[in-house]
Amino acid sequence: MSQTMETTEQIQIQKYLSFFIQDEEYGIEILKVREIIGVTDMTALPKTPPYVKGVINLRGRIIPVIDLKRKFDMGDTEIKEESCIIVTEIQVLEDGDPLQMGCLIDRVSEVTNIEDSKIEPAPKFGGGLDTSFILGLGKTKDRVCILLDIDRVFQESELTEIHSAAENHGEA
Amino acid sequence: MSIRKQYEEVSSFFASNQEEPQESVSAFLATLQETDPAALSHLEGIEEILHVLREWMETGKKPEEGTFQDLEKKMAEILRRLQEEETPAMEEIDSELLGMFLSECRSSLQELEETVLHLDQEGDSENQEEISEARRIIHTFKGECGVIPLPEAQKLCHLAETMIDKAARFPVDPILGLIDWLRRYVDLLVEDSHAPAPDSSELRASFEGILKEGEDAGDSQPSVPGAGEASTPPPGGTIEIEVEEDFLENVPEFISESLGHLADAEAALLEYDQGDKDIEHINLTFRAFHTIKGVAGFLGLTPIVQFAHNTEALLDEVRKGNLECTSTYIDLFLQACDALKRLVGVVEGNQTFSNAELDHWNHLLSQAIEGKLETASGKTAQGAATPLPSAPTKPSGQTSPKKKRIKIDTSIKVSTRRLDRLIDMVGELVIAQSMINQDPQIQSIRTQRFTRNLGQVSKITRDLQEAAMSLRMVTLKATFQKMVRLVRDVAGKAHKQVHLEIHGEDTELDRTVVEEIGDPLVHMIRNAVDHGIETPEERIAAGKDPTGTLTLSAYHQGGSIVIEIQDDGRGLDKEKILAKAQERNCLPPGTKISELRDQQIFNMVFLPGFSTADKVTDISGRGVGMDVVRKNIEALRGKVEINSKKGEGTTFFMRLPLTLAIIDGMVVRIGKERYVIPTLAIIQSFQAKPEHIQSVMEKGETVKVQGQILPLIRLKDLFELREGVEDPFEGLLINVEANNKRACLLVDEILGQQQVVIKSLGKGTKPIQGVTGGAILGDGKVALILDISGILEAASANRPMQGV
Repeated sequence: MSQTMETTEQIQIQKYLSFFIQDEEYGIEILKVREIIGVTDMTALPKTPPYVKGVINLRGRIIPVIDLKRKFDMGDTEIKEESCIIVTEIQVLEDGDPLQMGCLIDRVSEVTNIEDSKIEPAPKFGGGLDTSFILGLGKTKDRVCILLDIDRVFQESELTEIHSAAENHGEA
Repeated sequence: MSIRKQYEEVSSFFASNQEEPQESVSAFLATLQETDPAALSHLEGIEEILHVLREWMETGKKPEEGTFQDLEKKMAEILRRLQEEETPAMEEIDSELLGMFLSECRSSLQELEETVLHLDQEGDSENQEEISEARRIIHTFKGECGVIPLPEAQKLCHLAETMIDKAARFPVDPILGLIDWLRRYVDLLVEDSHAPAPDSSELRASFEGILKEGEDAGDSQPSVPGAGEASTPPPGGTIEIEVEEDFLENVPEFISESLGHLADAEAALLEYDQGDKDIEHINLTFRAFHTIKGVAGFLGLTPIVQFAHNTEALLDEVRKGNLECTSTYIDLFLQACDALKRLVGVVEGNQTFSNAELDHWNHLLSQAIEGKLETASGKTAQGAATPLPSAPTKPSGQTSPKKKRIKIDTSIKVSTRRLDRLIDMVGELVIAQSMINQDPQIQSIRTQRFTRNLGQVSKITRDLQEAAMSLRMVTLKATFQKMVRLVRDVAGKAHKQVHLEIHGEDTELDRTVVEEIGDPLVHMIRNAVDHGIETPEERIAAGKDPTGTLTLSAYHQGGSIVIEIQDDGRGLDKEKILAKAQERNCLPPGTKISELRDQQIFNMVFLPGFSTADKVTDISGRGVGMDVVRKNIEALRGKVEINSKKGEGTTFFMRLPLTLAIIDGMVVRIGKERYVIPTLAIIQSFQAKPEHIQSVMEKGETVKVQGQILPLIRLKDLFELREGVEDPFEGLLINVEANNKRACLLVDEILGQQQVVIKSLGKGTKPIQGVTGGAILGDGKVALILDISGILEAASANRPMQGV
């Protein structure tokens, strides 16, 4: 099992996959990550928001890919040698297939252990900076990792039907 | 303590006709006082009872005999109602069991219906074999309903069973009524596992009518063949359990089920023994034995019935709390499980069981019921210990050679989701394999061995794909069988005599198609019986057989399936259709009636709101049917056609794809992107010439094709693509049609035609208008499949596509 919930003396440690978007380090709970794949050809979806890069074929299954950099208004991801797609997975319904989505990022870093106590809530920046995707800031020995609430990213990617259902199908 | 429990006590106290009121009465009164009067208001007569009881309590004088008896009756009535009300709430429905039951019961209802209809058709109600079959299914149903529990359904099944036994003739209609009722109930349960049972009073009345008749006739027939003559096995020797020829095919199922039940029971007993003193464990064990008893009784496996019955009786005592369940009992039950397993093994022919042992068990169990186990416990240990070691070992040579061994055919249930995943993976394998085959580096290897191996891989892949696809295929049998019932009912209502012939019911189709085909079929059959076939008088006047024939057939034709519905009725009336069409202004302007082909006229019946029936009956004629039929069939990417000759009959042809998962598509390119257009929607493709194109007010553009003026749709603009040809003369025009609308699509080029597997763009993607899904092309990349009707809609609305 990749999950480590070491309960020795009640210290909760979670594993996070950390990766880079430009020079900023982000993290996703490892349990939400299905796999990491290289960047393959993407088929554009017409009339979708610009951060939706399109769909890819993941071994017979078609899944959407979003550009996290674009999503966070940091510009378009330039596809380079180290760019890759992190395939994330969330369970929406108990018995349904899990929902999969690819996240295009610049570079994968490592899997780190972060104690729950070392996670601080995201500060309020104000000035239109939306921090709703941020679970918190995780402190490791020498640096700070921005932990993403990937479920939130899923929901607010405006791709999911869950979102549209939740929002009372505001648009047709 | 619940009201019902107290009520039960009070009423049993009444029944015992005591002089003095007891504690139970006062407790009951106290509870009722606390209870909300509204909750009791529906219990008619409770006021009176309360009044009498109170008076009795206060005065200590027993009411008069007449009042007392009257009261007693009323109490019994209220108790019955309370029980009915409370049962569903009191007994927790096991959702897992219910799920299993629901998934299986449709097919068993189907089977039952088939049998009953066959009995009805044959007119041979003396056909014992089929009657037993029907009885068996109902019995199994009863058992299952009891286990879940669904008391109402269980009761009805029980009544039905009794009715079949008692009635002189097989009661076709009430049983069909029961089937309908059960179906309705099952539908309700699927929605909500706690759904109350539908109203069954009518059904009960019909059952009781038949029961009464049967009783009046005076001769109650012996029940199941075999079960009545409980032949006591001769003492000594080993038990032989003979299975009647008729039931041979049911036995394997029985064996595997029984072993399953016993394993469950064992697990429950062990858990109980290990300290989880939940009475539910005992209940489960009880149900296991009970179910086995029921089925064995039906199959005529007397020793098993006896054994299971005795164990069950003991379990019942324990369950009711009359006996304390010590570990001695648990041991006994566990040993009983083992013994029963071996008895079941005897049926299979690989175990033996001595008569003495069976007697010993029966004795032991009946003693235990009387609570004598304590004294007998030492004996149990010995008694069970002595015969056991010797018995299970197969006595060599003793087994009679004539013994039939029953083969157990194993099958497992797999969820469709897993199946689809498998099919996906296989599809992917095929693509991966063809990519390897086409790889230039691979193709440069020219050794014989390599070519041979590669060929082998392709062959296996193809076989695998075929096998995977066949997993989803089911026969049309169940769907067609439903029509038998439908024809019978509709013909009865419309006072017509109709004979239904079925051909090709074994034709296989993709499961999803089969599921979707039901509704259109119902509409068409209904129409054929109600409007197509004449009344017997009309038929005789026309010189035809008074009984009309409806033929339902299915067959393969060129990669698709054709379902044909043919009647020998009055046929479609061309003049009437035309008149109606003119009346409703359904004809396209400028149509010359004399130029219309028959086919075109017949197709008008598919127009919305079109009905040529003179009067609307409760069966059909409102003119919605055929429109829905065409829509449904087109949704399945099929086509429907009509052929008819006045006075001779009508034939409907439905052409359906074998599977919904694969379509024929034209792969086109626009800029860098590739799209798949379903071939079914394409009329033609052509290179535009200047005389074809005409712009309108510098905004819209039209194309003149085959005398028609069609709008020109630029997919590039519609999808807001950056690349792609602008000039219609550089690209290709594709003339497409959907929903009776036509248009020309401008694309860069056609890359080829191929079959593609349709995949959804994932649950994580909102629907995009104009796109039905994605397909993975030969190079492993995704191409979007276009939804032509969506595109035409978006384009004709003259607005950009609705985006996400």
